[in-house]
Amino acid sequence: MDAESWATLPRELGHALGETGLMVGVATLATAVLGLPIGVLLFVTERGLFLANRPLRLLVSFLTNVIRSTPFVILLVLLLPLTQIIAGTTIGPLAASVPLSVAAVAFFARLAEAALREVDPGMIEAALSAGATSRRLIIDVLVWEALPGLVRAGTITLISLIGLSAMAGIVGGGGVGDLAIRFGYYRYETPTMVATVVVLVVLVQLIQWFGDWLAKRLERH
Amino acid sequence: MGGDHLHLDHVSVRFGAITAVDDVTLTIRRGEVVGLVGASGAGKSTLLRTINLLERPQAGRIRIDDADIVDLRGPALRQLRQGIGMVFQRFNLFARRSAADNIAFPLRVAGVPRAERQRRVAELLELVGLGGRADARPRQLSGGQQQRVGIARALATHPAILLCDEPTSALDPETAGSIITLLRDLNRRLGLTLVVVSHAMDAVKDLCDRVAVMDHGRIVESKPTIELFAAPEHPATRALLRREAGLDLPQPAQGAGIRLRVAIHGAADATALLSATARRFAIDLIFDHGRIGHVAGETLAQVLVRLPADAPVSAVIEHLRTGGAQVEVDDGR
Repeated sequence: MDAESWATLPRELGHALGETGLMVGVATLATAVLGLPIGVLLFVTERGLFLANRPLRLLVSFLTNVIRSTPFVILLVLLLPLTQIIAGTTIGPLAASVPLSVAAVAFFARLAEAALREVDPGMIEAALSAGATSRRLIIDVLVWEALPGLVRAGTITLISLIGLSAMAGIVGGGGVGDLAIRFGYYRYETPTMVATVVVLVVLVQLIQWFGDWLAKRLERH
Repeated sequence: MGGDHLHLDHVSVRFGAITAVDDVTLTIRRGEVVGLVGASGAGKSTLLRTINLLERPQAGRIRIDDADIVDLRGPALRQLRQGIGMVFQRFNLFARRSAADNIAFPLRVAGVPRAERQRRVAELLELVGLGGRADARPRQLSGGQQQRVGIARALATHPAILLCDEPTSALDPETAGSIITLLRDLNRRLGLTLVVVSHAMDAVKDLCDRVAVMDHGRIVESKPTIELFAAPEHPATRALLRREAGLDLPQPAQGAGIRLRVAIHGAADATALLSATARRFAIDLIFDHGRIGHVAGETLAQVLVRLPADAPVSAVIEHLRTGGAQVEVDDGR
């Protein structure tokens, strides 16, 4: 590795971090907007619950399982037409955000469903017997009571997203993981690879630490 | 006390092939405290939950203040539930909300403005004796305090009916007693109609005006509490009472003579009848087992007494019955 590479490394890394931030940011937003409602839907449509709807639940459950069981690289390719429609292109970090979002939404929806399942059914019963609407029950009881669990689920999803975003380099998404593969692996620039991996480790640690802190705080307050 | 408040008319609830509530008819007067007692699985909780339609019956009608509620749905159903409070065995408090927020929940559901909510919550905390604990989380409160919050929450919207599902079963005996006192007090002060489910007779004896015993989904016996304790008729009632009173003796019966199961209630000095009987026939009464206590504010004595073999048994029984006692010859079962 030459002096020029050393000089450009910080700039490359900064650029890659920006791309990772964009991809992960868009997917996180999509997760919050779509993943949480789908997780709620999976839970409340279950048999015996207040919005029980077996056909709907089966359909949504099946779709999330299909997405989760498809290897991400293949999902990336399969979703190219959808990416073209939504992002207007199939190249670049914004395009990569589309399959990332789809994967993250399905992944988080299942984790959210599990977190909601931890809410004591007695609380649902108390809210129902007070005459609460489904909307109030979902927002003020289910989601509110499951918030620490949902934050933990979000933390896991976010960290998985950073891992997945490395693969998004295949459609020219860029990002830190992609940097590690292209420069560190293909070009045998070991220091670059080490540097990017260190950046990723630090990033993941920070997210985990913040997620744990927030969840604990929510449990107490 | 007013007229009929709540009327269940041939109500049945089925879960698949299982009939949880089987053709139950029950009328409850305004301001009355009625116990639903039975072994677990007898259908008492399910029956209770039909009153606010947490369970919808497959057959029968339910009238509250002469309005049929069975087919209510949507906003009308939620309106109904806002007018009926419910207290749970495991309290079912919202874990991430303070005591005050728990109590405020039904008020928010009912759309009560914020200032009015705060005033009402403070009032309710005082009512249940938790004035200083507004900001406490459920887990910072003892079981008894949590149930007090549960009761305050159930009362928030001024319901006329309070449904209590095993309200004291998760509490130690002393705390259970204080909750019973609170419920009785609320019934008297607010004129609430209470329906109380319990698997234990003991929990309802000081609270309920009347007890309905359930067995296999049916009400098998329903009468004023003191009468039920003094003169239980149905085998299910007797089984419940005997298990708790501990009046069962080891087999075979020990000692000679004829053993009588005697129940006397009402009079403050109920057992005076027994000593009077002993004097009258000049016999020794040997007490094998017994319990003297208070049920629904009356004295109740339940004893197993042994008569000498040469005693005039039928005359003794006759004398006791004339004195107001329920008497039966105990065959050891």
